[in-house]
Amino acid sequence: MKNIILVVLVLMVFSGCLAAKKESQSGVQPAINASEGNEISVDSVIFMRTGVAITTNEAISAAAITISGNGTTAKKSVDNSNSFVIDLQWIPDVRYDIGIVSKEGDVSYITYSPSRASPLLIGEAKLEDIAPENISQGWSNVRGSVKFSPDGKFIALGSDEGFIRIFDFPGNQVWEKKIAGNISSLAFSMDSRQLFVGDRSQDAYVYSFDVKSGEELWKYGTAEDIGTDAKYQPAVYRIKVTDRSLYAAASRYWKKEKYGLASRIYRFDLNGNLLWKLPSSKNYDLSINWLDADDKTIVFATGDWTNSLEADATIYSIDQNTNVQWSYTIKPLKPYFTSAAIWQGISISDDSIAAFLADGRAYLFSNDNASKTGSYEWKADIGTPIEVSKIPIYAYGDSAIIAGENVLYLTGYTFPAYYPKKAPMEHPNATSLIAYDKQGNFSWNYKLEGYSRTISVSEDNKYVALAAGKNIFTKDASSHGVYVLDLKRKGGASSKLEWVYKTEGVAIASDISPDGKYIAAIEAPVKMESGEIIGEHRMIILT
Amino acid sequence: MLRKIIIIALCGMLVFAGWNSQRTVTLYEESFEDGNLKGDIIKNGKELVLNAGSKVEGEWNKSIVLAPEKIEWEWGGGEKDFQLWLRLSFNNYKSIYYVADGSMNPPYEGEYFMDEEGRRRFSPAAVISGIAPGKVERNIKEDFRACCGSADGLKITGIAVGMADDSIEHENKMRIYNIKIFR
Repeated sequence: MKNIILVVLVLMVFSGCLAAKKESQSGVQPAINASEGNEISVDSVIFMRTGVAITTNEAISAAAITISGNGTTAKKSVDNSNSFVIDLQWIPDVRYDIGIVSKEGDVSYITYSPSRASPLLIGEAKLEDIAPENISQGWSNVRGSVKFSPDGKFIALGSDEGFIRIFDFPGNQVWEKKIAGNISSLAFSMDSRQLFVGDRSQDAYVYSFDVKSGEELWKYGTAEDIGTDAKYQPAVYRIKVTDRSLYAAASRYWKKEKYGLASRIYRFDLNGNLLWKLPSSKNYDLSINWLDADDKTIVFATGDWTNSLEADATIYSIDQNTNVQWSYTIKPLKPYFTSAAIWQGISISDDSIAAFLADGRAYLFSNDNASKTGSYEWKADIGTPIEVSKIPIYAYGDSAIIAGENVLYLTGYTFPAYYPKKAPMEHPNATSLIAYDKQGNFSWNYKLEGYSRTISVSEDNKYVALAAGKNIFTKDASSHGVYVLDLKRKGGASSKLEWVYKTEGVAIASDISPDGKYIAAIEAPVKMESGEIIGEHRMIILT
Repeated sequence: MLRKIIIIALCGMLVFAGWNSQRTVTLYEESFEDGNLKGDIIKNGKELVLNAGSKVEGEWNKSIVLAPEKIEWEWGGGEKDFQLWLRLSFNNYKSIYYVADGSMNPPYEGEYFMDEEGRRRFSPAAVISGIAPGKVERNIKEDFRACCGSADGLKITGIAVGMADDSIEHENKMRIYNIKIFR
């Protein structure tokens, strides 16, 4: 009896599956045959920024793929795969002929390039569980950093939990380490052999690791210079590497009756030998949060981000031996602020230096002229306070970067200039990427909606990548994601927006590969007002 | 007796779970009875076709709200200087164009929309082209995830079909039919 029941049940399962299969296919007869009767067919063609991704219905072997159009032809040999990426600088809205010759069959077909590229997710890696970001909170409790190696073969990730990870391309983990502090900066050596890491900890180390093995090569504790305690730990906020030198900016703050600040900058050779520290004998009693450098010049700014010490911000341009080439002092923007400071807003190019103050004032200096005139080329009020209902609100000046002929300023959230009042509305230039030309003419403004802590530009200054996190005003999760703009595309900001890849959680960091082909980004979970937690902690690689 | 009942109950549950997990639910089946027809595109029985003639074009679109997994349709008939595409619009202002093999691209770059503060914003579309004629089966969530991002909470808010014949020496007899969306 039991056996009969079981047989009947098995038959029911089988017939149920069959019925389900039937339902999904009911009424569908292939009335149109695939072209030319080939067994191999193309499933999709996606035009990306720097190439074309083709997938076929089944894997093909010993295949040659060609794509030609607009007078150029690209070829690639592939074996035993059904997805292929061919490098091609395609032209929008042009016909391309694609041919596949393989053991399994030949296919030739025509396709047209779209007006804009589409993104494509090509790699993904889950990261450790973390506490989510809070959508309503005015500050961020989730941080991370990501960096491509100069040769484009490795991606380094650093987290607030102290994890350092190296991935090869396109996303296999090579090694992982955990250090005591929070990772505050990452940089590769120009030969891609060393990874330099700065942390916030009781020691505030600059570390050097072997990129391939993860072996620690050297470290230097900046806390010995700038002081430390368990509550107010120092941090290495920025590491910048040139051909033969590593520059680091380390700072610390503390609060007793009032705030105190201490900072220094350092130059090392790549073997970890300290070449100098500035000041040499005692600390700046101000903060240094950022620096930039090329082969000849190092630029940094001292200031007071606590807005309590009645201090000016001073931008210094020094040579490799710490000789000051020029400096420029900026007074606090009174009556709204009592001090002036720069966060990530320092960038150097061959001829210019951009500076972006936290109070929203933007400057451009000519490195040559500034040493003669002691002044800037032009100045723009981007995020400076405007009064709404008698409450002054400003857009935090976060980052500056010079990309070819574009000078880009990235703003953060809106804040009231007087605490503890609440900002009644967003500053019109908050969470925006704003472009000027080098003559000081406004070019365009892309309203990003979410706050991007990072900005990265491809070596050819064509593409800029941003990671949009939360917006504490709108609390709109739909703006979270990775954004890529084509700076060389004609038109305004919307025209320059190449694509958006949406993330459910907040995008907290991104970096574009030097050749501009790939973008690596970190997503973190976020707790919405309803208490729901959306998104996950992961790395994604896009092209 | 009790043992038998338990075994039968367990088997019954297994049957139901097995049947239900393999079941593909058809959420949507388009017969083109409604929706908006623009230009030279017309309904012919249960399919959409383009009116005969050179330099003709048209679009059919419809608002729907579905939380989908897969879509399938059948199409073809384009040979030279034509447009044949199917667009899915989603609840986050993203859209994907599926463009037929050999088809020119639709003259769209994305969607403009007003954000919560009344600002005009732009969301670029993704284009998946080179899709062979005949029966097409696409995993919507996989396509969205690859080209647009997180597909959690994803809903289709609109479907559209576009056709155009720009050929002056050849008549493209395009058609599309059997559009079905599955969960």
